[in-house]
Amino acid sequence: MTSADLERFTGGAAIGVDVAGIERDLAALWRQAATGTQAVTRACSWNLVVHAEGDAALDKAKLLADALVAIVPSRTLVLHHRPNATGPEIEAFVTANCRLMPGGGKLLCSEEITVESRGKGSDYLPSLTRALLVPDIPTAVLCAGLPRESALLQELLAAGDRLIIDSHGAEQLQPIERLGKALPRVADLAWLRTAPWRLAVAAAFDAPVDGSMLFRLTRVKLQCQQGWSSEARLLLGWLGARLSWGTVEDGMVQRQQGRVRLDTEFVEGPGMHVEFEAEGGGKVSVAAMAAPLSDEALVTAALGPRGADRLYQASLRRAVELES
Amino acid sequence: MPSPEANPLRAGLVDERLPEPCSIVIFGASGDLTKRKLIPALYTLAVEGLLAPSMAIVGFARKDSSDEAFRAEMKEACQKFARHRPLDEAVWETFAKGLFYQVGDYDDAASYQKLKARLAEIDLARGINGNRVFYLSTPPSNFPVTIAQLGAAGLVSRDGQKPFRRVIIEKPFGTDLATARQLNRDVLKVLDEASVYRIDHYLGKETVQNLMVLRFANGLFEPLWNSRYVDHVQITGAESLGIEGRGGYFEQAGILRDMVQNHLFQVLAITAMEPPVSMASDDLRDEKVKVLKALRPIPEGRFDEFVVRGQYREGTIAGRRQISYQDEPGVTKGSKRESYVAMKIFIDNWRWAGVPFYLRSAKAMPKKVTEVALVFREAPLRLFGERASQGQSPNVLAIRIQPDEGVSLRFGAKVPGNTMEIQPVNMEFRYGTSFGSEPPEAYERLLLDCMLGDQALFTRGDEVEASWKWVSRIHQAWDASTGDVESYEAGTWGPAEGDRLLLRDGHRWRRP
Repeated sequence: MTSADLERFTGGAAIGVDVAGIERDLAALWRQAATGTQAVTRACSWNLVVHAEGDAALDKAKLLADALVAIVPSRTLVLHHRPNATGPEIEAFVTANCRLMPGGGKLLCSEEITVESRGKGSDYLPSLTRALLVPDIPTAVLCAGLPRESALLQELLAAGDRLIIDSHGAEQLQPIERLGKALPRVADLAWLRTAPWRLAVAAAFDAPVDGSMLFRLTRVKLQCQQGWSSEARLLLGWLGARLSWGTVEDGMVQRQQGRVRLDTEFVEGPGMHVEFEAEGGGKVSVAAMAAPLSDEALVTAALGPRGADRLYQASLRRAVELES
Repeated sequence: MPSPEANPLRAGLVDERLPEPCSIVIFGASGDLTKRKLIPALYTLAVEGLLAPSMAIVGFARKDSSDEAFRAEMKEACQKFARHRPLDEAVWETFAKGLFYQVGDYDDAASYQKLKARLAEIDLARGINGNRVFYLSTPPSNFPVTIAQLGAAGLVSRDGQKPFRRVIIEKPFGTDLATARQLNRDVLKVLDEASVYRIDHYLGKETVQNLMVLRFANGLFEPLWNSRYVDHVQITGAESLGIEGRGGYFEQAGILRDMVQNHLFQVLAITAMEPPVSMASDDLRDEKVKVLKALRPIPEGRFDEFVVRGQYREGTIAGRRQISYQDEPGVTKGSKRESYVAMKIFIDNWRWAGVPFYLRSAKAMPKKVTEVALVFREAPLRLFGERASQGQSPNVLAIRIQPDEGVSLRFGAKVPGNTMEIQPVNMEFRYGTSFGSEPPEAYERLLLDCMLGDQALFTRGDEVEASWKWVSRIHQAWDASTGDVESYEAGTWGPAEGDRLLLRDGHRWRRP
């Protein structure tokens, strides 16, 4: 490695490395960096495997990964497969994600390894992944949107502690439910986007409001932003799971000793508004107008307790039932 | 916290730490703490979605002002001091609608009646169910009268029923054992202990809480956390500034009251306590009180062997000139008030018998740092020969509370090469490195805990009295002494006598 390589590496440029010697070349770069004039600290608290097929998916996933790494230092392993592209079957690049630590002086760096595969090159990805995961720290697999089922995905799920996906804009939630059976810790960014909504709705039924009216609902009218159908369905799924809603018949949901009419409307502008009507004329209206959570906030939350939310699976299951 | 039984939607929420709507009344709203810490902390909680949108904050002070002026002043404060900057205008707009100002005198009964009426109006307008937090951020001399007036106006009571009525009391809680006891009596006349939140913002610091996690959530450390393996413990709370024009206050307080009796004793108690039965507030505080009650009293007439006091003279701190304590505005010429204190403490219990705890705190030190260091006993045998052993030194586990919060472990490692040489190396964990996200400010955590009714990070009455009991004897000894206070140059680690306190036992202060 030359000193120019080192400068490019810590400056964030990708350095081509031998696929069979990724760890060796990385170690050499860090050793060189340690002898430089600026103090460098390497940090790594997660393995973050970014799985993308095609350039658009890669760009989207990379944006999320970059936002995450800026907050949670991780070894990022980008697996980018282009099935129909020509060129070498497999190539690897390394780069450092560095930022100046508060107070200046020290650079805080984590590393990113990108493996580009073409055609049959994807066969190498599972073994490479196994070799490149840092031991003794958790592994998150990040996919832009919803991942396609494949052998590689199965391998990643087996190695991963958490799968981060985003069902935003998905036509159906059923495929995610299937994924969730393979790996219970699915952190769906769409679900995390509904967190402020769920808090606002729950808070609206705190005393002095009689929470038992939730079991006598006759109508729920949900209004939310155009394009946020997954979020809307997950919110209704959550209500259904908490309130033990049953099957759907004629657009009405069965509840204990009654039925609830669900109306969903998509409008321009951010936020969410829900109206609850109950037997006996009880009405509660909830609005959550806060700005949507940023990508940084969402992916960081995905690695925390919110990303292993037990309510998610139950809400997703109920949302899928409501969908059908 | 609202119960999931009453509200099925609360069950299982990960973000369940959302307090019920309440009004927070800040007494002393025109003061610095309100601007620099309290309102910015509340605004930050609002940004993070941890406050109910109907929350109200009422500033109460003598200064004539209005809701609008108070909102403008607080906006400026949040722009300067809030953790999330620049301000989120949408959040601010909602937050500001809940900000009110009430002019009044702390000792005037009519002012409290007006406050009561105002709070009732606000409850109605914002749908608050009568829950209240009263924050006493006034000069401490106003605490007794404010508490008495709150009781007389029926704004607080001893029934502990819903809606909740809680009172946060800023430090200092008394100036000695007698005044602390009296203040406890005054408070408990109108409130029950479960409604009293004596604040020590050190307990809100992430690293202080991490001390408990380090000890009780790891299998590695606790077995070593006793007199069998620990040689001694050093706790340092150093400030790099002088008294910054606060001569009037500091002449009364001194560093022993300002830092040691509260902050450092809390850190000491958490470092030395037994594992609590649970993290419930009283279980935790029971264990802290046991430590404070086990502090060995300094034998009469031997205070100089255990405590050193010092006062800074002119010097430079990190390239900046620092005038001497005696030349600070508000300081009486010839004052013996201590800006440095170092002490040796023994804890007479099974775990810590014979282990000295050295505490030091001072103004005008080379840098601002608070840390706890456990210095372990050396390996029983120097196995690697004379030359190698030169580099052998005791293992040290250092918990850095501020700044650069983290934990480091020093151990010996072989220097690479064909000879056997040992060199101490550090294994470090830094909060800023491992968790990129910024830890919450202490006041954010403590205000939220109070709204949620969690007293674990607040000090209990008996805890405060136990620490004053030990500290007040030092003050009495100093008052009776004709001896001089040791002088040290500003920008150094204190007087030579402070070093000798450890050297006599064969130890040295760490350079933090």
